[in-house]
Amino acid sequence: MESVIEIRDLFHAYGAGKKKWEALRGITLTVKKGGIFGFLGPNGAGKTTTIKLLLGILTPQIGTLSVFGGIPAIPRTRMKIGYMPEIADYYRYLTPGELLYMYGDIFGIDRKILTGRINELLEMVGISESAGRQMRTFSRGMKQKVSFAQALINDPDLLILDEPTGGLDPIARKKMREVMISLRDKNKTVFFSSHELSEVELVSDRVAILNKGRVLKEGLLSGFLSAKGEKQTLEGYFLEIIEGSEKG
Amino acid sequence: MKRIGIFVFVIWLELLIVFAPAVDAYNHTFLTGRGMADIPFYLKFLGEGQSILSAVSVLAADRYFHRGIGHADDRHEHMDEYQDRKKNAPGANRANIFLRIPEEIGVTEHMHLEQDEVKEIIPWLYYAVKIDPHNVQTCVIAAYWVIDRLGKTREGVNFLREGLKNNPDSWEINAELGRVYFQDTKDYDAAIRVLLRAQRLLAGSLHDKFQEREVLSFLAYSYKALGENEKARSVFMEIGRLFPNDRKMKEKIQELS
Amino acid sequence: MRAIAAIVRGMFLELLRKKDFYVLFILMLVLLGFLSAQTFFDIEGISRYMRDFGYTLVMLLSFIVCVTFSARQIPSEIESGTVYPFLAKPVSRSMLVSGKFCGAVMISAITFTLYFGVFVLFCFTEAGRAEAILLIQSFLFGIMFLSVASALTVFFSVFLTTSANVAITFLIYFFMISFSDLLRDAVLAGKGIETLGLGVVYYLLPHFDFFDLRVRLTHAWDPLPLWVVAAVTAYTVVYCAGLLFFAGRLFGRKKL
Repeated sequence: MESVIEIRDLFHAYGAGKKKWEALRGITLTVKKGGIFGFLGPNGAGKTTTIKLLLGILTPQIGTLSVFGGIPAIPRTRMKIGYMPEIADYYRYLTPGELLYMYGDIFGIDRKILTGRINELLEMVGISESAGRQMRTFSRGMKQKVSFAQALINDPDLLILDEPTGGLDPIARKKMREVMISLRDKNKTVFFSSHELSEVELVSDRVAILNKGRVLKEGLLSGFLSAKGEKQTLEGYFLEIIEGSEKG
Repeated sequence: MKRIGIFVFVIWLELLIVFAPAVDAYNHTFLTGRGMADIPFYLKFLGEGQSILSAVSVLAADRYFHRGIGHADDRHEHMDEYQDRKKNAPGANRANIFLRIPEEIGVTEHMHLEQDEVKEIIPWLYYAVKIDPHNVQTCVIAAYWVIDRLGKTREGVNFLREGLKNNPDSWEINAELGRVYFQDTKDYDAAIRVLLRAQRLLAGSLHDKFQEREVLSFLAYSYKALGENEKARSVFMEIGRLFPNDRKMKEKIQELS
Repeated sequence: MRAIAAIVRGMFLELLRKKDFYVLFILMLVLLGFLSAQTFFDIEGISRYMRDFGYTLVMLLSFIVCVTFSARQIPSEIESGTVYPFLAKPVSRSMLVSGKFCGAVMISAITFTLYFGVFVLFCFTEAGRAEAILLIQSFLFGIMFLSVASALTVFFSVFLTTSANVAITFLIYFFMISFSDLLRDAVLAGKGIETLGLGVVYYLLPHFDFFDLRVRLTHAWDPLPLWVVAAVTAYTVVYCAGLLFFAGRLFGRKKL
């Protein structure tokens, strides 16, 4: 199967000298096309740094990474990527429709098609009634919905979600899961990081567990949950792995 | 404790803001012996800064009179000097466009406003007096331009009267009013009244004898115009004492004998 | 280009929906109205002080809109996190900087055009041919002035906070408007290393004084020769391009 993300011995540190802090310590990861990939880890594990590297926002210091076979730092590589950040207070004086139009325009989407897609996405995330309101009046949950919609504006082949469910109500979470599953069904790839392990358990095919800049485990979710011969929860497995690595 | 300190400081600051202008006005009015000026509330906060702003306004009037370049400016030059400098400037600087641009954008030529154009300096003189009502010199200069150059006698007289209200002890304003009453409105009684006051005030202030001569001359001619020749003669004699070698004055005194 | 246009459109909508622009416009109307209602000794036709105040007001208010608007663009993108989804799109960082610059210039130009139009209506009801040419030159110079101000502010915004950026830009503006003549004279009079040092400062600082046609316009001097207009235009283009180049490089290296 064709790989969408290839990461080899990736190293990244912030600061220098005594203040140097190693966020990634040589991670290697491959994400194949089609499927939902859960990227798990405690706070400070290096998840967001990895995502920023995948988006070309940061450049690798040591190691290599490629997305769709290209270097993410080159803008063209990001044509087929959709990204939803963990926290984004979008342009306060724009309406969701205007924001989506702006982002769609950047992708060079035909304006007629774009208008239709914007309406469709706003409908899908459930904020079409507030489409004409400026986003400074939005709650956190509503902003998250807009954030999810903007990530889908270019009909991406790879959707990267960083802690996507924070601030969302159960209905919106369900909707998000449905969208992720429908993308998988279209042979598209979803790469998402989350603390909400139950969410990950519900939709992921494969997961990677990260701690202190290292990948501790990577593989099929079903394999992890039945590793000891008996069914266990992802949360139980995750805690076991993380605590094990802390002791070791 | 810290909160109490801040509270006391804020109260002190507020009292200062409220009373400082009042104290300043008191200084102006009573300690300096000047009249009570009708200064807008916001200007009282400026304190002595009023004089500075007023002076800036006078400088602006000077700049306006020279079409944008004042006597105080370094680059103030007369036309011929400017042309000479342009011709004789070093070659390297002539070739450096970067250094030449400011010369072209700025104004370096000396020119005076002519005829009706002089009215453009009036707002600055007006504001100079409004900002600092004790700026007597500017009050007199403004009145001169308004009355003598722009023909607005009534307005000029009112302006001087207002100046007099703010500076009742100013011999300059009294003298100027006297001149205007004599020359422009031909109101000789009024002229005599203010010129006598100017003469009295002159005695207690710094002045030169030419200024005194001007006051006395207008006074003498005002008496003469009313046919009070004896009084006129006595004033001419006073001028004669100031300028003992003035032959014309002696002739005038003899003429009135 | 579509990315730049999208940024510009977003900034335009922000300008329309924020109060700053309207507040300053009303302030200008009130001040101009107050000035035009002033009478001095019943003398008619006094216009130069109005032009003087009016021009200063137009330049200053447009400058305020330009600087405060462009200074907060990049820092607020970083602070609010909007920069991440933006850079996740197929746009380079230098494109973001260019877009912010173009947006700032467009916003400043719209503001300046409106303010300048009101100023002309108030102060130049009877302009002669020479004055009309000078007015056109003033308008052009005003736009160029704001372009340099935008470029400078966008450049500073890459590494300074909004408040520091605004303070420094205003400081440079007032310094250049007040002391550039003295600096120029010092460069001309200096020798050796002194000239070199002063020259570096003189050539590097943005020459806001080049765009100030206040005295010329107020006192009805002749329009500028064409070579000066061309030279100032070239200066604007080169200076803005230089600043944007360095801003792009610095922002490209910035860790987000």
